[in-house]
Amino acid sequence: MKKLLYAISGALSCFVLIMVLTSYDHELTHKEINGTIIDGFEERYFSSINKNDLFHYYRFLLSGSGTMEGDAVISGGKLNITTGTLNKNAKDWVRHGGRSADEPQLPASFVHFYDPTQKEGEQYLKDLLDSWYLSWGIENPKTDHVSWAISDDRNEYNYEAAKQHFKNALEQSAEDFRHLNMSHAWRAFGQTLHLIADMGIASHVRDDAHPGVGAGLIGHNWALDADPYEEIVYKYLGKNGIDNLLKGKVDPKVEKFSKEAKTVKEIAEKLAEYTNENFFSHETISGANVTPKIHPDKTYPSPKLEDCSYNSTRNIYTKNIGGNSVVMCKDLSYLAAFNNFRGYPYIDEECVISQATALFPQIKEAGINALRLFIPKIKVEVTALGDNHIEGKVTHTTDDEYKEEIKYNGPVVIKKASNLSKIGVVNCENGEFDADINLGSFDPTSEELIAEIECGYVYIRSEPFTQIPEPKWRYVQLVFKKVDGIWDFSRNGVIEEGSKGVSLSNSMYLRGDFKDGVFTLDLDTVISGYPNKLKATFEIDNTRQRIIRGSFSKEVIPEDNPEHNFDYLSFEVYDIPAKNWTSNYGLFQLHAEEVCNSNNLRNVRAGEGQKLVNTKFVWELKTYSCNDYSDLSISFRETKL
Amino acid sequence: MAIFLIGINCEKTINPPDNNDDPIIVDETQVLEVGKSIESLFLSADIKDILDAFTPSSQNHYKDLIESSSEETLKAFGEAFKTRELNVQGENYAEFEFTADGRTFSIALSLDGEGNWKISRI
Repeated sequence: MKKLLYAISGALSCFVLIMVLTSYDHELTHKEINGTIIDGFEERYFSSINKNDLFHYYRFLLSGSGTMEGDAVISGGKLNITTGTLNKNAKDWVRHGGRSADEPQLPASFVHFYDPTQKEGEQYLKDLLDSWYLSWGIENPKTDHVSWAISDDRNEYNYEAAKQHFKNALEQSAEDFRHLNMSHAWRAFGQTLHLIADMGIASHVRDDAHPGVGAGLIGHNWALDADPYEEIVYKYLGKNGIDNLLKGKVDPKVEKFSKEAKTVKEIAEKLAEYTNENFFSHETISGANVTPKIHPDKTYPSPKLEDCSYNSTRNIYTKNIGGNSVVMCKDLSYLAAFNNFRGYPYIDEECVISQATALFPQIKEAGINALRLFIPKIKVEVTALGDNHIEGKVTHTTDDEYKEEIKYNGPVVIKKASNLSKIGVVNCENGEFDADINLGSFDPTSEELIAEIECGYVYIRSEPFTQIPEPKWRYVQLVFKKVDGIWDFSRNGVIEEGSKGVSLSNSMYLRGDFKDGVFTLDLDTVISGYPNKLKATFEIDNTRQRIIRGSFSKEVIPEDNPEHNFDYLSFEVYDIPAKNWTSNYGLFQLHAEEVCNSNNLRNVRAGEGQKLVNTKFVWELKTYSCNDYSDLSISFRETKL
Repeated sequence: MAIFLIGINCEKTINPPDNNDDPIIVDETQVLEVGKSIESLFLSADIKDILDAFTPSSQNHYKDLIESSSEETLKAFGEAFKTRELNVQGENYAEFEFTADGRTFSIALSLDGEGNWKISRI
C-alpha cells in the first residue's frame, strides 16, 4: 500500500529524501486482493440459478482475452511516476487500480486512513501531528480515505468517476470510446477496492501511521516505528500466495452488512467500523492496564485485552471473531521473562498471519458486494419479432449508486438462443431498438432468439424471445442414469485399496420439487448403508431442451467417522444442451475431459485426497407431454449404463 | 491542498512494458550484520550502547526495562541471541527469532531515516 520515500525541503524548492512511511505493499498485495474479489464475484454470480437473481441475465468475462486500452501507471514512485497506455482485460485493470491507488506514494499515504470513531470531517490521519507535516513544508491534507476514494475531485480515479465512465461507455456507441471509458471505469473501481482492502487493516482504521522513522526527529513522544502487518502480509503473499489467507470464515455480521448495503461507501464505512472494533494495530493495543503506544488520549473502546483469552504457556491473547480464532497479540519478552514479569504486548508474524486470515475473507466479501453495487442494473428485452424486423428496449433501473437513468446507445447482438450463434446486429438509440434484420435461416416459429449487449466485457442478454407455441408438458423426468466417478482414493499420498465410485444405488428414486422451471433436491438419505447428503438445483428449459444452469453435490458421511467425508463430489453446470434430443427424449453425457476443457462443468470439487479419473456424469432427460399442467413433476433415479 | 505543492511529476511514455509485477528485492545482508552487532552490544552489557541501537521512539519505551536489567540479564540475552534466525524481512521491518530454555522469542527491527536498522521491539 504505502511505502514512502518522502521528499521535501523547508522552502519547497529542493527536496531532501527521507524514508517516512511504509506499509502493505501495493505492488502485490492489493493486486492480489482485487484479483481474488473479481474471481469470487464471477464464481458467485456464475451460478445465478433463479430468474429473480440480480445477475441472472448477465455474463461476466472479466478475466478473458478481451482487452481495453487505457492510461496506466507504468512505474511508480514516491513523488514521480511514469504513465503510459496499456491494454488490459477488465480483471487486470481492476488489479492495476489496486496498485495505482498508491501512486504517487507520498501524497497517497496521507489520504489512506479513516477513523470511524471520529465525527465526519475529523476521520483523517491525525497520528502524524500538524507539526510533523509543517516541519517538512506541507500541510496536513485532512482528508480521510473514504472521502478521497469515493468522491474527492482531486482523485481522478475515484468511485464516482468509475461509475460516470461506466455510464459514458453505455451511452456512447463508438467502440474505441467505450473501451477507453471502461478501462478508466475498471481501473477506478480497482482503486475503490483498494479502499475496501485498507478498511480491513487495523492500522488504517485506528489512526496508526507507520513511518519507518520520524518520531524522534521531530521531537514528540509517539512511537512511529514500521508496521509489521503490511510488510509481513506482503512477504507471506509472495511466498505462499493468497489462498491460505482466504481460509478463514466470513463473519455473518460482515456478510449481512455487505449484502444489505445500498452503496459502496456504506460498505467501506461498515468494514472500517468492524476492523476498528475487533482488531488491534501494533501501536493501539490497550486494556488490562496497558496504555497504547500512540495517542493515549484517544484509546479505542474495543477490542480490549481483558476481553481476550490469555494463554500463559504461550503468552498469547486470543479472541474468537466471527468464527475465526485470532491471535490478537503476545507479551512474551526475553528481558521481561528473565525479570519474571510479562512484557508489553506486541504483534509479530504469528499474530499478523492470524489477523490477516480472519480479515481477508471479510475484505473479499465486502469487495464482491462492492462490485455487485458497481454493475448498473440493466434489462434487455425483445418486444416484437416480425418478418426480418425486430424491436426491443434496454432499460436501466436507477438505484442509490446510479441515480440518473442510463440511456443505452450502441450495438445489440441478436443470437439464436439454442447455440448463441449470431444472427445479426442492430443499433440501439436511447434505450430502444427497432430495426430490420436478416434472420437468414432462423425460424421464429420453431426457434428462440436473444438480444445481448456488452460493455467492458459485461454481457447482458434478454430472456429468450419466442413465437413457439407453449409446450404442454405434463411430466418432466430428469433421470440420473449414472453419476459415476471412478476415483483414486488416497490418504497422505497412499492409495487406498480398490476404487470407489460416487453413484446412486439402483433402487433410489429421489423426488424433488419442480417449480417455475427450477428443480431442487435437498435430501438426507441412506445409500448402500451410508448416510448421504444430496443436493441438486437445476434450472431447466424444456422448450430449448437444455439445462440452463445448476449444481449438484453428494457427500457420504461414514458412520464410524462422521467428521471425515471420505466420499464427496460437487459440481456446477451451465448451459448444457441435450444430445440426441427428440420430441420427448434427451440424453447427454459429460466426461472428465469435458470437465477440464469445456464450460459445461464448473467448480468441480471432490473430497480430500480424491482424484478424478475417467469420471463420467451421464444423465438422461425424459419429457412427457400432456394437456394438463396440474401434475408437473421431475425426479431423479439411477439406471444402469 | 498542500499535498499537491510538493512537486509531483507525471511522465508519459509510449508503448511501455507492463512490468509492475516485479517483486521487491530485499537485501538481507545489512540486517544480518545488525543482528551480529546487537549480539555484541548485549554481551558487552553497555546500557548506553544498547539504547543507541533502538529507534528513537522505542528508546523511550524500553529505556526503563533496559536500565533495570542486570548485567547478567543483558549478557544472557546476548548469549541467547546467538541462536537467532532472521524470521522475516520487509523493506522497513524485520524480525529475528531466537530460543532460550526451550522457548522462542523474537525482536523486531525498523529502518530509520538514515537507512540504519534499529530495534523497535524487544
